[in-house]
Amino acid sequence: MASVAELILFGGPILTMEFSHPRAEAIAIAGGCIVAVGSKDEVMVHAGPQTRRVDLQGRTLLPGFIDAHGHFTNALQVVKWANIQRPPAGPVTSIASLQQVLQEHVQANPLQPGQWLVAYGYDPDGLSDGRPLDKRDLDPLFPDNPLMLIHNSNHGAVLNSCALKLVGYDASTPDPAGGVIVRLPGSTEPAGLVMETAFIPLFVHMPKPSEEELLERFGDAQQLYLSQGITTAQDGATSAADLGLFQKAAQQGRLLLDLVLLPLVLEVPAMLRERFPDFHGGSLELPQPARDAFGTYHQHLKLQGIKLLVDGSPQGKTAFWSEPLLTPGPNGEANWRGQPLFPPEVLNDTVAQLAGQGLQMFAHCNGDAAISMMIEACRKAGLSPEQDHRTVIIHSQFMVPGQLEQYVELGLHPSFFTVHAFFYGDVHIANLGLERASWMSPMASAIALGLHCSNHNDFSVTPIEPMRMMETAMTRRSRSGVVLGEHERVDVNAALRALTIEAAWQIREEDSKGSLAVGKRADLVVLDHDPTALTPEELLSINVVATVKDGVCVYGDLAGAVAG
Amino acid sequence: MNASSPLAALNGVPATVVGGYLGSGKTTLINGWLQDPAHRRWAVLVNDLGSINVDAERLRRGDGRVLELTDGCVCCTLRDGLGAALLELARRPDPPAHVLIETSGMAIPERVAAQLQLHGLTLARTLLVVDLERIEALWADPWVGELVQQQFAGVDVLQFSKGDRLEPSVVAERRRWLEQRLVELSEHPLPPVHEERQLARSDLWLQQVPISRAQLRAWASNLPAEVLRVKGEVWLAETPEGPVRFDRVGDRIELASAPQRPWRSALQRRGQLVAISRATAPSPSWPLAA
Repeated sequence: MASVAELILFGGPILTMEFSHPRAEAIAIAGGCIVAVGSKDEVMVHAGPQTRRVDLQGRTLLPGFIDAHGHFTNALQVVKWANIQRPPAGPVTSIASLQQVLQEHVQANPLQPGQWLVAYGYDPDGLSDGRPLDKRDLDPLFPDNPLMLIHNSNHGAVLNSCALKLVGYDASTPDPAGGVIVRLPGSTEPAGLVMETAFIPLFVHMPKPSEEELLERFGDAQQLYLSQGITTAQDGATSAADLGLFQKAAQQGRLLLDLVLLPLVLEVPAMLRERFPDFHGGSLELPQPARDAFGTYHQHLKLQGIKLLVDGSPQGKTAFWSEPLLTPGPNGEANWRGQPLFPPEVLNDTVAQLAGQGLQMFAHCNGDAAISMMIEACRKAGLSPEQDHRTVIIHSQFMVPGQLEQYVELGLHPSFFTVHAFFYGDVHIANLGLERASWMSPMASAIALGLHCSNHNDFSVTPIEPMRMMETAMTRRSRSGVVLGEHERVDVNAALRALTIEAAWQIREEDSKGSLAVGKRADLVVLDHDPTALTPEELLSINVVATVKDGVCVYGDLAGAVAG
Repeated sequence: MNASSPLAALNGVPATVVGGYLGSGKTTLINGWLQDPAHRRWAVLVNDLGSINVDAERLRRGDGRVLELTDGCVCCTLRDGLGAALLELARRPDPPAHVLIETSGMAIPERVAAQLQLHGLTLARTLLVVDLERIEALWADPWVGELVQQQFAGVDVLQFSKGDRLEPSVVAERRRWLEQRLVELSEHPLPPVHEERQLARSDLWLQQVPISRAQLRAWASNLPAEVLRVKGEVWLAETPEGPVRFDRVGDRIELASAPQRPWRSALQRRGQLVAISRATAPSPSWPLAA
C-alpha cells in the first residue's frame, strides 16, 4: 500500500544528483520527506484526494543547496548594514552612487542622533571616479552620525569626521605599528581610510546589539540564504557567546533552515567551562555529553565539528605560502609569504587531541604552507581514510602539486572557494603570477582522485550566490577575463554536486540530504531555468522560484511567478 | 581618546606588553612578577591564540585579575578581542592600576602595543622573552622563522630565559649570535637585555616645559648603566611645531631632527619619556627644565 503524498511536483526537469537515475519526471513528498521520485506513473501512485499537485511548468527542481562553508553570524550583522559593494555583489559604481546608497539606507532605517551607520564592501577599484573615497565625500551626508564603511578586505574602513573624532584620530595621531591612518594630501590630517591595527580599535566604539535584537534578525538573515535556494546554512567559526544565541533561536522556533555550527577551537574551552563547570579535563578534552552533542539536529540546529584556523586570507596577504609573493606584504614587507596563525607544535597537538576524541575537523587553510602544516599534523595524528574521519580542508585554495595525493592518503577532503577566480583572480595573478594562481581550488584534479569536493561562498566574504559558484567552477574566469587553470574547470554536474550531495557528505548528511531519493528530507529548490541546459555565463541569470524545507515552501511560491 | 570613549576609565593607565614565541617562558616570568604585592591591583590579559588557552588555565587564580583574549583574525570574526577585554576592565568599579598583556606566541608585540596606545593607555614597556635554548632553531624554522624574527621589532627590552639550562659559554656565544642577527635585521639600536627575573622597572616623565637639544643630549649621555632604555617624544625649544622622537640604548642616542607630527593642539604641548631600568634601580633623574 503506497503512502499518500501531501505534495507531488511534476512537469519540469527534476535533477536528482543520483548517479543511477540523474533525472526524474515527478517527486512525491509526505511528512517532510521524499516518498517517491521517478517516472510520473511511479510517483502518481502516491496521489490521494488531499494531495496538492504542482505543475512545475518547465521549471527545474533540485535538492536544496547546502552551504558548505560560511558564517551565518555575519548575516545577523550584515542585514542591518548598507551594501556598498560593486557590481555584481552590490550597486556601487561611483562615489555619487555610493552616497545615494547610504542615503537610501538611512531613509529605510532612520538614524537616531549619534547612532552609527555601517556599510560593508567598499572597494576603491570599483569606483569610476579615478580616486578613492575620503571623509570629505561623507561629511555632508550625516555630519552628526559616525559612519564606518568597511573595506571589502574586512581589514579596514573609511570613516567620516564624526567617527574619526569619536575614536580620537587626528593630525597628531601617529600611524600605529602594523597599521595605517591614510592622510589628506600634503598634511597629516586623516583622510578617512584606516587599515589593520588602526582599524581594529573601532570595534569598542560600535554599538552591541542586544540579544533580543539579534534574535529578531534571524528572519531576515535566513531569507538571505533561502532566497538563493539554500536549505542548510553553516556558522563556520562559532564563538561561545553565539552558541547560546543560536540555541535560544532554535528553542524559540526561529530556524526555518537547518543550521550547522562549527565551534571555533579557540572558543571551545570557554564553551566547556560555561556548560560543564565541574568538568576538569585538558583544555581540549570534551566530556562525553559534549561529544555526544555533535552530529544531531535539535530544532534545526546541530554541532558538526571543530573549526581550526591555520592561516589568514590570500587577498589580504595573510595566508601562508611556501614561496614569497611577487608583491610586498600587507605592511610593505619584502619577500613576504605570510605566516601561520598557530605554531606547528600546537596544531599537531590540537589535531591529535580532536582526532583522538573522534571529533570531525574543519581546518581553514588558504596557502600551500598552511595546507602542508595541516597535512603534517594529520599524518602525525595517524589519520587514515579507513577511519572515515572526514576532515575537511576549508578553502584548500593555493595548493601545489602532490598535496591532493596526500589528501587521498590521509582521508582529507577539500571544500573549495572557486568564486575567488572572479572576485580576486586578477589580484592573485598580480601577487602570485599566473602559474601559481592557476592552482587555486583545483577541483577537477581533486575529483579525478576521487575526493569529495564541496564549494562555498564563505559568506560574508563573498555574497551567497550558488550560481556564481557553479559558473566559476566551470569557467575559472577573473573579472578581467583571464582563465585561472583551464584544466581545473569542471562540468555542470560536478559543479552542482559540489553544492548538494558532496556538501552533504562533508557534514555526514549524505543519507538524508543532497540528492532526491526516497527517505531523504524534502529540501528542494525550484529554479526558473535548467542549469544543465545553459552556458556557464547564462547561469548567472537563473532565478530561484521557490525554496522548500522539509516539504514546506519557505521562500517564493511553488506555483507562482518568479519571486522578487 | 576623548572623554566619551567607552574606554575613558583606562585613559592613561600604564600598560606592559610581554611577547615571545610559544614556550619561551612568558607565563613563568609573569606568574613570578604577579606575586609581588606591588602588583596587586594589576589586571592581566592573556592572549593564548597559540596555545589554545592552556597557559590561561594555569594563570587563572579565580580573583578576576586574569582575562582571556580569544580573537582570531578580525576579518573573519569582525570582532576585537583585545578591545572587548579592555571594555570589560573599563566597566569595573575599580579600574586596574596597570594592565599587563601576555601576547599570543604568534603575535607581534609591537602591534599589540600600538593598539593599546590607540585605546588611550600609556605604554610602560614592551618586553620580549627569548628562549636561549631554542632561539637559533626558531630563527631558521621553515614555518615560523620569519615571525620569530618580526617579534623583535620595536621591543624595548629583551628578557632571556632557559639560559640556566646551558653552559655559560654557550649562553655567551648564543647572545653574540643573536646580536649579529639583530644588527643585520635593523638599523635601530639593539634592545638591551634585562638580566634579573623581576620585572624591569618603568618610569614615566611628563615634560611640561621645553628644553634644548643640547640639554637633552647632555642628560642622556650621563644616565647610569642601570637605565636600560629611554624612549618617547620630547618637546624641544628648537622645534616648537611638534614632538620629536627620542630613543636611547646604552651609549647610542637617536634623536629625530624634526617632528613627524604636529601637537594635538597648541595648548597640549608636552613631552613624554619612559625610562626602563633594572628592577633594583632607583627612580631615574629627569632633565631639568630651562
